Amino acid sequence: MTDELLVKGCLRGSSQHQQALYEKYKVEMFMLCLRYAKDRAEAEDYLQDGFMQVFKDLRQFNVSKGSLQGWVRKVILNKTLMQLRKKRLQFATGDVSEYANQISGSENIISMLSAQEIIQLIQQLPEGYQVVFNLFMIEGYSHREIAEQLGISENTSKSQLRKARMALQQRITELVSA
Amino acid sequence: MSDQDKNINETRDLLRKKLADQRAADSGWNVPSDTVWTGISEELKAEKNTAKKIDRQYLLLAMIALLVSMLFMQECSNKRAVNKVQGEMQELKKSFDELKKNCEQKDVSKVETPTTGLSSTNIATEEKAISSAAVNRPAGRSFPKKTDEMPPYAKVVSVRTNSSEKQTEARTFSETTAPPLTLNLAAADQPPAPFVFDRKIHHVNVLPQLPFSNLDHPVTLPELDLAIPKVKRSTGAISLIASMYAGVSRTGNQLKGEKPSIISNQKSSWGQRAGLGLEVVFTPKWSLETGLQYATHQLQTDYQLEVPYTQMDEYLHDDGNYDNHYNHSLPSSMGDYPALFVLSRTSDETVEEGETMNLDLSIRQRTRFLSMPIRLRYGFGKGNFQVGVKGGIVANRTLSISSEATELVSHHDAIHQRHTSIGDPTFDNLKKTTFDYSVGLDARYFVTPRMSVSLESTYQQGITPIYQDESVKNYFRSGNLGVGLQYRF
Repeated sequence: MTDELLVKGCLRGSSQHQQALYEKYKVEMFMLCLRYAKDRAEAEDYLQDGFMQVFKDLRQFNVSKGSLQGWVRKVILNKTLMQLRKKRLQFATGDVSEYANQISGSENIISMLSAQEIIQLIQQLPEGYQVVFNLFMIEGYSHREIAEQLGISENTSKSQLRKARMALQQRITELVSA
Repeated sequence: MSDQDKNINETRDLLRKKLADQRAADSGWNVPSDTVWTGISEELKAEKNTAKKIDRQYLLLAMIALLVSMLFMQECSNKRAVNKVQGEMQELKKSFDELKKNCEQKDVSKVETPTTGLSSTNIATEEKAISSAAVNRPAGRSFPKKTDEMPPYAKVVSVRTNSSEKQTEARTFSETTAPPLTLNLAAADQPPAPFVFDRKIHHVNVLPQLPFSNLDHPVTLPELDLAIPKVKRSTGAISLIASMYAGVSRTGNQLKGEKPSIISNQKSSWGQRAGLGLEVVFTPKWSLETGLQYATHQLQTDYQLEVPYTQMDEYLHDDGNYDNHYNHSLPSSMGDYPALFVLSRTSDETVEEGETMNLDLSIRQRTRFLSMPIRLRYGFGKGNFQVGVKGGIVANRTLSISSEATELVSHHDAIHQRHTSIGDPTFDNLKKTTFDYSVGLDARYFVTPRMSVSLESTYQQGITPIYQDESVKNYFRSGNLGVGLQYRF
């Protein structure tokens, strides 16, 4: 079924079309939610709220302006970030200087990890690091965009990313040595 | 590109590549459980039902308003018609009673006095009519004595109905058409008396020398049996008035429930209201008005924040002072605002870690919406002036909300504001369609019979909240003052 037909069906209120849309994108969107959540249950909550927002805002989707996949992803990401903001996101300021000399060389180790393991590693990051890391490294946001999205300064975004990478490096090292 | 940037880019590409495979894993780790879809479908169903329920409620309200106004209109119309008929019946009964009294006292066969109440025109018409009839009548304007040749029916030459106020053509009532009342009236030698015929009240002038029968008999008048004529709704009473309105509103809100503790005060301010209207006039006094108005609503929320100071994230600013970022969520009566404060510590002063900073901030919200009033109006007055009292409901649809923060005021000597910004609030709990009740007064001056200018004052109070969460409900209210221009079609 094409995206256009899916959207039209959903706008008519057809539950079959709504379910088809959900089934089509559930895996991709669940993986997105997993990266921002601390565990599976939290990710499922984000996914449910995200899809509710998708069905609510579907009238705003314009087929000529982009793919449905990209639009759904954007809506779910925004909804998830909004919920994280509501939880009064804390940007931790732990001392990471001890990992400073361990930054390089992580690429080879990452290539050995599965997607599930990578997501689990991301989930273990402190909340503030986790969000900035995801937005910068995976969604491809710039520090300016992250600052605007989260209401923080660019410097904070940069420092959070640096700390996130260091923390991730440490976890990877621990994982490999184990 | 530095080595670090290169390193970051490589890691980024690698991570994306690793996460690009979005197929469902056999282990199911990346597949959400079925409860997610169950939850979504249940929420969708509930939303659908709520929407339907609300639609039904609105429809019901509109129907009730329409029904009430129609009943009211019908009632007014009926009352007017009944009053009119009752007045005429009273007049008729009075006249009838007098007639009956006179008849009982007189020997009609000896009556020689002319009939009263005849105009010269009537007499001329009557004489003309009688001259053509082969009747034996005495000279002068007196009632005839009984003769056997005389036909047994009265001839009524002048019939006037109340509605037309005109004399109609002379008509002769035959055996089948003549109302007994008419004949007996004629026989009773009495002045014109009204009678009901064909559901109309007729005022009759009778010829003084009409031939009629049974004059030797005492006149017996039939019992007055006047059915109330069928009430007909007067047509052409409904008219339309188009109007323009512009004015100002003193707006405010009413919080019901637990107000967030950091909100110290909420101030109302002036808004504007302008639009077009349509008024359906059912009777000279009653009308139903509606229309479409664009309105703005302004509200200022003051916050008193207590933020613990932290040195951890301080960084040196170009001016030599130390800046720090604080993120805060500010609850408002419309939604929660993410706020960013950049506070600056003077370099030569120290602030203890965790020391409380008292900060004051205000957020001004401006809401724009479309309103559709449906109000019943009762107008009364004299000459060119009319005063109206009205009441009804107003449906509002929120179009947009804009917000701005004032400068942050720090009560700590060493801490000053560098920058304050607020983001878009989360409007999850905002109700875009709301209903208010509205009552008001207006005064109209008719410049011409069709055109009038008005001064209007109304008060609106929310029936449904514009914002609602678990702990608080926010209702809009406003007092409006404006001028209008009306044109009656």
